Amino acid sequence: MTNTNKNLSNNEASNNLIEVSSDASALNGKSSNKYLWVIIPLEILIFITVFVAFFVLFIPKLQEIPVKVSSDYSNSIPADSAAIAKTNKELQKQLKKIESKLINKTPKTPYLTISTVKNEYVLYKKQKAIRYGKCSTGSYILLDGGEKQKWIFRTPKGEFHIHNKTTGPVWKKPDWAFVEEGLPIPSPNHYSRFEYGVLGDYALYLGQGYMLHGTLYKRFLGLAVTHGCVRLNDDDLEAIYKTLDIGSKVYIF
Amino acid sequence: MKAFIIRVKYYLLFSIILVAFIGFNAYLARQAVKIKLAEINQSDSIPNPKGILSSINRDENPEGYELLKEKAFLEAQIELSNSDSITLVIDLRDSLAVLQIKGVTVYASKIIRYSYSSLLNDISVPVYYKIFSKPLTVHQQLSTIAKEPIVIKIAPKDTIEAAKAEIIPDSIVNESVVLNFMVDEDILVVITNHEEEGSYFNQKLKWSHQFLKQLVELKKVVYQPTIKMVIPNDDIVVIYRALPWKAKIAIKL
Repeated sequence: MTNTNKNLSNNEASNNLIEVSSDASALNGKSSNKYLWVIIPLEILIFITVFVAFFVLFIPKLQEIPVKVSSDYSNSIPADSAAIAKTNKELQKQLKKIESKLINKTPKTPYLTISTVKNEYVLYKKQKAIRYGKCSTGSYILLDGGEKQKWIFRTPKGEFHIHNKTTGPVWKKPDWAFVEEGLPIPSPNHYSRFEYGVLGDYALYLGQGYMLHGTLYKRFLGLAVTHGCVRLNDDDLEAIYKTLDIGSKVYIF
Repeated sequence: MKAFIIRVKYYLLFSIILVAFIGFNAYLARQAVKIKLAEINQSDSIPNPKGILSSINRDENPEGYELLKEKAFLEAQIELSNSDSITLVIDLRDSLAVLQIKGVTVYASKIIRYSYSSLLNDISVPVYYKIFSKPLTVHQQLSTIAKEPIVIKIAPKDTIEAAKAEIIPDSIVNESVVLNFMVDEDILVVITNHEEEGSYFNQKLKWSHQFLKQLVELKKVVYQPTIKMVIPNDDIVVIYRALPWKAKIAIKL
């Protein structure tokens, strides 16, 4: 009897144990489920990192590995040193010829270069820079006067040459000068169109109405503020006027 | 234990898929380079190269190869000098980017750093000569700055309104500028004014996006040879704004 009782109590105990262990595994399962919200995003993050690293870092590197191809025509015929020396000598001769052709493109007479972005000029004489400084070029303002009246104030780019040179230039104000000031446009030869002393002591004409001239607004030198002409300070203008002749090249870029 | 095994199986399967995906894409990327190289070598091949072209092998005569590259570069410049527009001359060997007008150097900028696709080193000698002995035409220009900084100004109604008008001159201070020039042979010329890795990373991301897009759309993966260079801040604006839309470029690698 006592034995059966003992067996019974053992069975109960083992049953209890099973229950306890099953509770523990359930608890473990719950805890692993609890961490899934960390594990899954972590896995996704690792995947994205590998994916991006592969495409952004590995593939470009892979594509830069040289491809070995024997596509040179001369590969089949090994050249001797005498032939190589002859080829190189011939090439050097040809290079000198082309180089001299290129050098001849640069004017031997004085010329001027103007940067419309930096608003700077460089004056060259005997192919050497002899003077540089600030200037002002076109403002890129598009003046909308309505009814087909539109002007864009840009300095043209390219190769130009000096058409004419004058001292004491007089500015004949074009229509846009009046529109810009909110004034009515006068007749073509109205006295209000003529302004004296505003262009400095000298003017060099580039054609199509564009000039190199002086300015009253010296504080704006180095900035893009003009209506298309190139403004210079008095000393620079004088130096350029005295160095460049009619026909001299002006390169604007 | 069972859950652990399932998890391992899941990781194994996932890894296999990932490796297969990476392998397949790596193969496609590499193949794209080989196809592009074959295309360039074929489309620009010279049936029976004669004279110097047939006798230069870059492995046997590296000096001759360099001389030939210089010859190609000068010949391209000679052709550029016949153009009326402003042109760009890039000499990677001497790290110089130069603006020219009719063969006259008007602006020079030091290239701070450069790199180019190894594919351009793998093209055959006669093909290199054929491509780079003539100016490359820019077919498309993309930039983070405006070509012309045009400001629209409505004409004032009267002198009072005109007096109130404020002048804000354009400035060339630009924090970061990226220029993309698509030239002949689908070569991409990328010019930036900053060295931060960020911009390159962005470009790589953009490229990766393009690669994946081609993949998803089941299109042939296309490789684009690229020439990248970093030039100083102001110079990049000067170069970009000086060049016309259909600019011509001479390049020496």
